[in-house]
Amino acid sequence: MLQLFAQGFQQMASWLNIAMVAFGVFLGVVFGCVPGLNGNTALVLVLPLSYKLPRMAAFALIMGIYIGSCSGGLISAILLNIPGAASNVATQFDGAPMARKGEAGKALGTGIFYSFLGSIIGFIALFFLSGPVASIAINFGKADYFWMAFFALTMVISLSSKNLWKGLAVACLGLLCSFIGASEVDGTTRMTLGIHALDAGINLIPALIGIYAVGELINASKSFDKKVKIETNYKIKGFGFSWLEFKEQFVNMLTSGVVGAFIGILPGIGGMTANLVAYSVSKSTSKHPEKYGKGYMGGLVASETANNACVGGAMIPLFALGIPGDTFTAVMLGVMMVHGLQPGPLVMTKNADFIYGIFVALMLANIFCVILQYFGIKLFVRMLAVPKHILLPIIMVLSLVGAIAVNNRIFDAWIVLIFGIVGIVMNKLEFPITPIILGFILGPLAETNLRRALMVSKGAFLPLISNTPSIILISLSVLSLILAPRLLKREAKAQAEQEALETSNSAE
Amino acid sequence: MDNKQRKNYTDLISGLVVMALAAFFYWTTIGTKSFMKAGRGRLAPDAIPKAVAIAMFVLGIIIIVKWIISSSRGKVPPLEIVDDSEDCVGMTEAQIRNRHLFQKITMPLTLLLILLYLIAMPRIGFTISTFCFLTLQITLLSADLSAKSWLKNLLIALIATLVIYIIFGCAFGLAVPKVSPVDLGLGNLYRSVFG
Repeated sequence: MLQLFAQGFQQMASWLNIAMVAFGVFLGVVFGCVPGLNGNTALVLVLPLSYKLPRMAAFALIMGIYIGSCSGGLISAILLNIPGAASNVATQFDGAPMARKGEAGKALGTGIFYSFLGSIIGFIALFFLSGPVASIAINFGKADYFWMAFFALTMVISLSSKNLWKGLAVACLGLLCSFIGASEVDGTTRMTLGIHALDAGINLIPALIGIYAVGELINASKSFDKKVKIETNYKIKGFGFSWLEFKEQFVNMLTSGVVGAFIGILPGIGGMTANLVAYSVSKSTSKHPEKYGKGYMGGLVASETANNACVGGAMIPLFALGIPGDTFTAVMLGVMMVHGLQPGPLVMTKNADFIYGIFVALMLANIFCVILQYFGIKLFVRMLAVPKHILLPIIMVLSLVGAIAVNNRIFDAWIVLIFGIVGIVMNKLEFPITPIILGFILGPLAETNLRRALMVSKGAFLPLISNTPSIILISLSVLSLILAPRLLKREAKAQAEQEALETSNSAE
Repeated sequence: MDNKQRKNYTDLISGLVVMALAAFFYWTTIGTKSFMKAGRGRLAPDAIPKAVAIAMFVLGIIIIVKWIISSSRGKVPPLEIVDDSEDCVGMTEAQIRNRHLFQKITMPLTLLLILLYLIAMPRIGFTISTFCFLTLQITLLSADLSAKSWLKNLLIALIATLVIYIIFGCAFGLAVPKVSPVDLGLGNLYRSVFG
């Protein structure tokens, strides 16, 4: 393992790669802290660049954005009382009151420091779990693969949908879109309506840009003239907290980190659930639950540790199984394919030096993130006033360029538009978006393996559900449908309690 | 603030949309010809898509039935009306009306602009189409139609277009449509400067 790590270092050891990590972190923090923009938007923006960079540099950039965008939202959550991204909602609960009490410096320092620790916990999880998970998955048979895709899909549906039926319906939509074009087993083209550009199917990247970015941009454009009040009265000295406080928060930090990494592993949810759940866990296990929401460091620690721990967790299924857990990792999957990597358990062995290079990039990004945020806080605060009505159209153009460049054809830009409209309609009708994306990605995996397994078993269904991995995966799928609602309740509870607290505060 | 509430038809419409999409996808599978011989355990290439489409159709029915049941019991929460009075502090009546109008037309107009942009791009080339798209889109989002704003937006669009085209179209050589004399001229200029 050490040898692999050394290879990873070797992969990353170039000025270009290091510069890309730094650039990525900078971009990530800026997009993370401007409300309405987030890491996904930043990723879409650099897509065209990522195709042209060497593979390692492209992923160094992406890792930088991932880490930076998870952390950047804390700046606006604390100083603006608006979370910069969904993964910093709970940061605002205690961060903003701290700033009002004149402890903005301490809040920022705490947030930045615990983001760093959170990333380390996530990294440890990624480092030690992805290898073993991949080596289990390598021995999977065709039926097992089918059930794995099935399990991932049930997880996403049950975790991301308030209304289970609507989640199921959009997952079906994602599956159907993924079936368009040549089927993998026999090469028959289907559902193309005679459009030859569809023969090879719909490419993942334009579909994602459309469903995600177009809708996001239009939503963001609605909020561009919201009035904000920036807390300007702050000074950072050290990280603002004492050794005693650090010791007090140690258990809280560890639990939140584990919660974050675990939620990251689950497909379909990410930082936005992690910070709320960790906040709620931290509050209910704390000796001082009454302090939460009134400017208590513990709440901030829980939220910021958890959302960054999530990053490492989310990459475990991506690298070990080829299954992305959220939109960001889904786009990463698309970029991996552009660079000629076939995601799946084999990547861990076939491209081990590259994967370990990514691990090194992740660590580097983490370090840059602390340094940049710590010393650049004044600059980032100024970035909050960036004119979005100028930025959004430029991102739109670049995302279309990114779509066109995947296959060098305008057709893919049309896919962006069509999926953009789908995304807007789904959003309007309150459908969850993640099941479409996961359905789209898992469709071929599920279908191909089911058809092959049935060929092997000569149509008998029993062999498909009788070997050990299959049985475990089926049980897990059932379990996820039962347990997921509990996790969601916890998330909703944290938010509801906070709202109640805020109304009682404002009534006083 | 007036408390007028509107009845919430979201799930009824959702169910109908799901059913329509399912029917559409089922229709696209009709007439699929397989190259593979049928046999035991050999699913036809359109078998799974058909099954998923049927399942989706059924889900659409379930969503509608659930809506009917809960709305007859009065359990569907009414549509929330977005309250933006905080953002409108200090605005005149006319400004607020303008703001609401812009919020309503931004989305359809943005989609229309993207549509026109995509139609125009292969015909008039990347630079001119991008310049026009950016100018119009920035102006639309800024919600300011004064001459000064137009001029500023034109300038920003011009610079952004040039930077994007030179970096991605010329330096990275991405396959954006290069048709117009402007596209080609800039490409030649880039080559003569950087080789």
